[in-house]
Amino acid sequence: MKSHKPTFRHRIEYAAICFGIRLIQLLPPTKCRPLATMLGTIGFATMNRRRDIACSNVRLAAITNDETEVRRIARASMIHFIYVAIISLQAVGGKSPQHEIVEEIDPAAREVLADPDKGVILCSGHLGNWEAGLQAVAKQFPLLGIARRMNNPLVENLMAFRNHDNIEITPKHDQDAARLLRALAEGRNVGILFDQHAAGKRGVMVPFFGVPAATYTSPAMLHLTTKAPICFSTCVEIAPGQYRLRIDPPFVYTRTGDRKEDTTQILQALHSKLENAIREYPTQYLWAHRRWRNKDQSSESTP
Amino acid sequence: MQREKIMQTLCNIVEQSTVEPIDIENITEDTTIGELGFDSLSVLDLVYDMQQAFGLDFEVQELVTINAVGELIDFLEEEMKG
Repeated sequence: MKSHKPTFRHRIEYAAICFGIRLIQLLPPTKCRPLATMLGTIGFATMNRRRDIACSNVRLAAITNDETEVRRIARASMIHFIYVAIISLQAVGGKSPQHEIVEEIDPAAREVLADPDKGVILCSGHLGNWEAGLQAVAKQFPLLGIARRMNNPLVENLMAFRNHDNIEITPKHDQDAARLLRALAEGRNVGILFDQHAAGKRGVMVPFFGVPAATYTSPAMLHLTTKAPICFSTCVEIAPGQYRLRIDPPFVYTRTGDRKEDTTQILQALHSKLENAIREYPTQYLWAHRRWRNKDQSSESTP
Repeated sequence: MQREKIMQTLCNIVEQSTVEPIDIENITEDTTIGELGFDSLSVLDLVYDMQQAFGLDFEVQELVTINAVGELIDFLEEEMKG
């Protein structure tokens, strides 16, 4: 296991991040989007590797055949995520979010989310503002979010701002083996972003926009072992400063006994829902993530 | 099913499910679940494979207080008795 004692480099990084956050917190809300547009445009022009990955992913997903449109979507995606990062970092200091959340929660989903005897597995992707969605859900229902542990332990502590009475963030591979099972048994809902590349033998290949992508099995395995219902959820920006939190009806899958087949079926159903949501809001998806690492995306360049 | 047989089946499952390499010869009833190398996600593979191998459909919340392999065998024995 990696040591989590901060190194000199961690301290320098932490100081730089704290300084950056302080500056962002001084920013009036009206200036957040212009700043994100400026940084995103500069980033798109200068961060060649990220730009190439984003454009390559948009092409692989066949969102459009028009190369100008590919670049527009990839650039807008970069701007969008810088904007989401800025407004999320403003919340580090306790600043109230300036956005409005419009809820579209299926009644059956609301019922299971509120059930104090059994939790729900709430699955989402890197679309829109998942952080705002998580916080909006947690205002009404107890939630345990699973997130990757930061490499820098000082930054990890900083991210604890997201924890409050109704929400707790737990590392993806918690040494407390029973943590997720206990949370669901206690009626807490578990939030998972499922559209991440799974390294090594931890994943299964699932078609995402028709292209096989190594995917963590955790949402499916949680469902199969606990029988807790799965709900797909998104939180996308539908107008400036206005987000729509949508939670689909819960679904239950009956296991066949073939672990690989069972997990693949569940994950495929989730990816299919995510694909539809992305097609509706392509500029709000995190295209710069290397989702299809089995394809050599780093060698492709954007004209 | 005999206790030794349950232990043997469990060891085979652990060998398949755990991400960390583990010498199953060293597993005893006192070995803790944590020592088997499972974390909060990989333990789900263990639970699924146990449910399949023993043909059981137990509620997993009953597992959350179990710390050692011996306790897990006690639990499986009870479940198999129905």
